[in-house]
This record gives sequence, C-alpha cells and structure tokens, in this order.
Amino acid sequence: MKLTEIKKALREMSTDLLPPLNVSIVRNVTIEAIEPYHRYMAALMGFNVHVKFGSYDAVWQEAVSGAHEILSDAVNCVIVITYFENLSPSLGRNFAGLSAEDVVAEVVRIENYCRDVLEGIRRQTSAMVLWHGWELPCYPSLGVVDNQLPSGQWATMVRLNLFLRELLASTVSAYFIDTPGCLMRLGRDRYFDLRQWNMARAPYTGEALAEFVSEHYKHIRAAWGKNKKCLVLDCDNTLWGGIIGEDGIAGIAIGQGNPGSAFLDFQREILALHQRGVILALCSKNNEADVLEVLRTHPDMLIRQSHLATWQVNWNDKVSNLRRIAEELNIGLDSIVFMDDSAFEIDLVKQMLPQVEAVHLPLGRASEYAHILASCGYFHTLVISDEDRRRGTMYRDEADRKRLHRSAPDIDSYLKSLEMVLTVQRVDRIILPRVAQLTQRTNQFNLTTRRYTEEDIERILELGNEVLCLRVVDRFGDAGIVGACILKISDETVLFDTLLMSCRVLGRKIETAFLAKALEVARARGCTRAIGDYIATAKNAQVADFYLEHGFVPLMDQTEPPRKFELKLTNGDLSIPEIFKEIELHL
Amino acid sequence: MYNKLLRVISEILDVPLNEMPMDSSPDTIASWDSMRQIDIVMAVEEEFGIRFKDSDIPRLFGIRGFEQVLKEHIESAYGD
Repeated sequence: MKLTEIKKALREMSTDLLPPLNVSIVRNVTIEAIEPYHRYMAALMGFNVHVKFGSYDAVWQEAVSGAHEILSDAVNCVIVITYFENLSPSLGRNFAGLSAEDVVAEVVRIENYCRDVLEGIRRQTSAMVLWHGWELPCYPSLGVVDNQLPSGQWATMVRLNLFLRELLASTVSAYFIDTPGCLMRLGRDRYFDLRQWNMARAPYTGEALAEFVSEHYKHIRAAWGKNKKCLVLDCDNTLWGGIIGEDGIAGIAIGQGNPGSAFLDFQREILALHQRGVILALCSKNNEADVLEVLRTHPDMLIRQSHLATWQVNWNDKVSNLRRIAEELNIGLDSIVFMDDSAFEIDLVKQMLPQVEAVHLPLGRASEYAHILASCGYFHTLVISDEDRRRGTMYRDEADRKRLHRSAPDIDSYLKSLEMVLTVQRVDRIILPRVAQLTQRTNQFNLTTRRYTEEDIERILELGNEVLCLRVVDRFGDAGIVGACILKISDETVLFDTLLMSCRVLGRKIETAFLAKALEVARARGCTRAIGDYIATAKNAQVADFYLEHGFVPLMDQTEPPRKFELKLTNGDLSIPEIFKEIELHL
Repeated sequence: MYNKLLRVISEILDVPLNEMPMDSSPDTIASWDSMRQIDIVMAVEEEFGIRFKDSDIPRLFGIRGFEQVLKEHIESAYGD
C-alpha cells in the first residue's frame, strides 16, 4: 500500500476508542517514517498505537543509563534497531581491511553491547522486546573468496545473527525480528534506499518499513491473543483443482503435475499449520458423501478427515455454515480465517461476518495458494506447546459432542445488493450449443440428468416445445448462460423434461425465479397444469425436494422413475423473492 | 501533474490544499521538517512511479523544487 493511501485510510479510521498500545523504538538510524505504517497495522488489528522514538544513535545510553520517557512499564513493546553499518563501521564497511584478530575483537564488542542493551532495557521495563536482526551482505567485501572463509563477512554476520537469536530466546518476552528474511523477500533494491541513507541516515524504503511492521505485529498479535485459531477452507478449486460434483474423484486435480502439485503444496502448508496447533475445518457447497470420499480414499490427498475438527459440507449458505462451525468449536468468529476461490462467497462473508478474516484465493492461480497462506501472518504463536500439537484433535472431540441448531441469517439483503439481473429467453441458434453442453455437463443441480445433443434439442423444438435458457448478470459481471429447461407441451399440460442450473450460481434463489418464469411461459401457451420429473442420481440429491419446495405435489402410484410432481397453474403465480434488480423475459 | 503533486504533499503534511500556495516549502510550513521531507520523497516516488536521482534529492526543496525535478523526469521519459 502506498504511503498516501495509508495516510488517507488513517484519517478515515477512528482509532481513539481502541485500546492503546505504547511502542518505543530505540535505534541508531532515522526510522521515523515507520510511524504511519505502525498506526495503520495497529488499527487493523484493533489497537490505537502510540509510537515514541529514542534519540538518534543513543541505544546503549538509553538502555544502560536509563530513559524513563521511552523505557518504563507504561510501554508495551520496545523495538530495537541497530543498523549494522552504524553499529560496526569496521565489520560493516571495512571487512576486507581487518585481520582475523580484529574481527574476533569486534564480534566480542558487539556481543557485549547486545547483552548490555538487553539487560538495561529489562531493568527498566518488562515490555515485549523486538530486536531487528542484521542484514546479511548482498556482496561480501572479499568477493567470492568470502565463500571459502570460515570467518568471512557472510559467515561472521550469520554467526552474529545466531548469537542475537539465542540471547533473545534466553530472555523472557524478547524476540528476534528476521530482517535478513525481510531483505530476502523484497530484494536489495526494494529494501534499501541509499539516497536517503546518504542524505538523512534513513536506509530503508517504505516497502521495507511495511515488511518490518508486518513482522512486529505477528508477535504483537500473538502476545495479545489476537492470532487466529482456525482455518476454514472451501473444497473445489481450493483443496483440489476442479469440482468434485462435476469431475468426480478421478477427475479432480491433486497430486503430481500442473495444477495438481500446486494444490498439494497448499495442502502441505495447511498441514504445517495443523501441526502448529491451528484448527482445520471445511465449509463447502457439495454433497457431503463426495467430499468425505475424497478425504478418505483419494491416494494423493494430504489432508484427511482426521485432520479436520469439523466440516459443513452441504448446500446451505456459507455464512450460516461459518457461524455453525464457530458454535460447534466454541470459538469466536474473530478467530476464524476463511479461504475460498469464489469472489462471491468471500464478498458475502466479508459483508455479513466482518469478524471473520476472509481471504480470496484467485481462481486459476493455485501455484500462489501456498505462498498466500504462508505469508498471511494470521496464525503465529510465540511458543508451540504439546497442547498446540494436540489441539486439532481436542476441538474435533468437542465438535462431536455438540450438535446445535442451524440459524439462518437474513441473507436476502445481501442478495439484493448483488443487483442481479436475470434474463429468461427462448433458445436460439447461437445459444443452442451452450444449452446442449449444459445438459451434457451439469450433474448437481439437474432434475433429470437427461443428456442431449444439439440435434436432439433442435428436434424437440421442431415438435413445438419450449427450450428456455437463463442468463445472470450481477455487479461482479456477466455469468453467462447458467440455466436451461426443456418444456414439453401437450394439450394443457407442460412437462418439465429437463431443468438444470450451473453450480456457479446456486444459493442465490435464482432457481425459483427461473421456475416461475418458465411456468409463466407455459401458461401463456395455454397450459393449466405442470408436471415436474425428478430422476435421482449419485450427484443430484440436493434437488430431490425441489418441486415439493415450490408447491408441487407428488403424483400417486409411482413405481418407476422418474418421480412425478404436479402443480395446478390455475392457482396464480409462483411468488418470486424480491431480491432481483430485474427479471426479463425475452421470447 | 502539479495538482497531483499538491495532493500528495498535502496528504503527507496534513495541511489542507487551500493553505498551500505554490511557494510553500519547509520555510513556510511548520510541520514540513526533515522527517516529513523523507515521507514526501517516498510518497511522490510511489505516486508518480519514478525514482529520483541522487543529484535530484537536494533540489527537492518546497513545492517548486519538486515540480521542477518532476518536470525534468517526465520530459526525459517522453523526450526521446
């Protein structure tokens, strides 16, 4: 994020009422520019941060001689920045000119300096200490020879960093900030700004400052208990490539090759979180049996049923399902991170459950998923205990004990905000191939699963029947032709030979509007009753009650499929939920 | 270009646009100290997608200084 954007966002946020967080930065460089980045990150996490700076290059004096203004128990967090070129000009800038004895002597001096400073800080405050490590040299001053030397510049810097890590690890509430890692992630040119270094002793770019702040708040988040506890995942195109309900267990991408191995990498990253004590759950619109089959039997899956604390795999909206997961696990919604490849689902969750951290995994970019998870910074803890490692199991047991009622949120207001425009039209030459394709491919929301070719549909049309299709446009864009129905008309009866919808648009009550419009067309053709066919398959359980839910009644004395349902068309129109911006009928 | 420059500087300094005449500089705006100068250089580079030369840095004094150097960058970008 650009600095101007951060300043603007800060002006628009009200942070006054948030709990205060007092941060002091002792430093030997100019680093005041970090302040807005700190305030922004703190505000996102629910803190009103006050950042104070020690005097320029007075770290040792303030720590050892005392500096009540910045080091006291009123301070929550002390950040120590000892930029190496200023800390040790000889090792940092003149390494090639030093003898082995000089190097050893300087290393000892730095180690003592660090001990003095840390002890001095601890005498004055019990605040959390975050100490920046030292960047490793990008171009060691001895050139490639440095790689051969046990005490070359690079090796010396690595050893000093290890010393600092150990010193901090052995001190209560003191942590190493991995600046060498920040440099590695950004690269030298995006990390250092040597013009500002030469001008004002400010060595870092804005990007580097943002990266530091992100590291600081991984620790602060964890220490203040604001780290996330639970990762909830979608399944299709998230845990694996493809759609289990359409592609089947043999057709989904997981394992070797592209994109299967990208999903495998993502699962590996998820599993690492599980081993760190993060609770895992699934929230997916699917048939539960399909998903469980993958978890239990797919040979390439890393995530198994035993890793999951709970799951909500059904056709309910994801907001209800996330609520249910939180209830079952007895955790707050603000402990949950939800990841899904659907912009629609993510947007829905962001609007209706702002406490949940909803992360969009861009469709078609599975190779980035592992990195998105690794870099998100939500789950860090400061220690990993045996209990953490067992936590996933504990929560699973808890969930097994509890089974709570589903409470449906008022989802209509959200659906309304999508500004959906439905267009129902008679199939034409251009749309015909797409409709045939839909009958071939659609498995889940498909009442009869009758497969037709283009020629089949032309023949149906020639007999005077109606073939209608449905286009959906919402504020995210044009979803295209996503539904079709074939109405066979004889005398005053309309038979719904086929009714199907693409799974991309399910859960938005579009099917009800589509059915109502189709019935309107039938009535205009003089029909007085409608018959709906349902043929059960392994994939279409979710629509078994579709006709019942829309006022149809089952016909008696049925032995053979299809099951038939009847609706009298003389009793007025089917009511359409008032959530659509427009419903057009083009005939 | 001039208006965008003004907006960036006003945003960083928290000074309203109408209180920033053309000849504003660290001499006329109290909050424009050397720390804010670093922020402004950073923000202008981000907003305009450029990178000032070392020799530009000391010339970035006041709005006029930024404007002059920015003009040169834009001209050299489209000049040849």
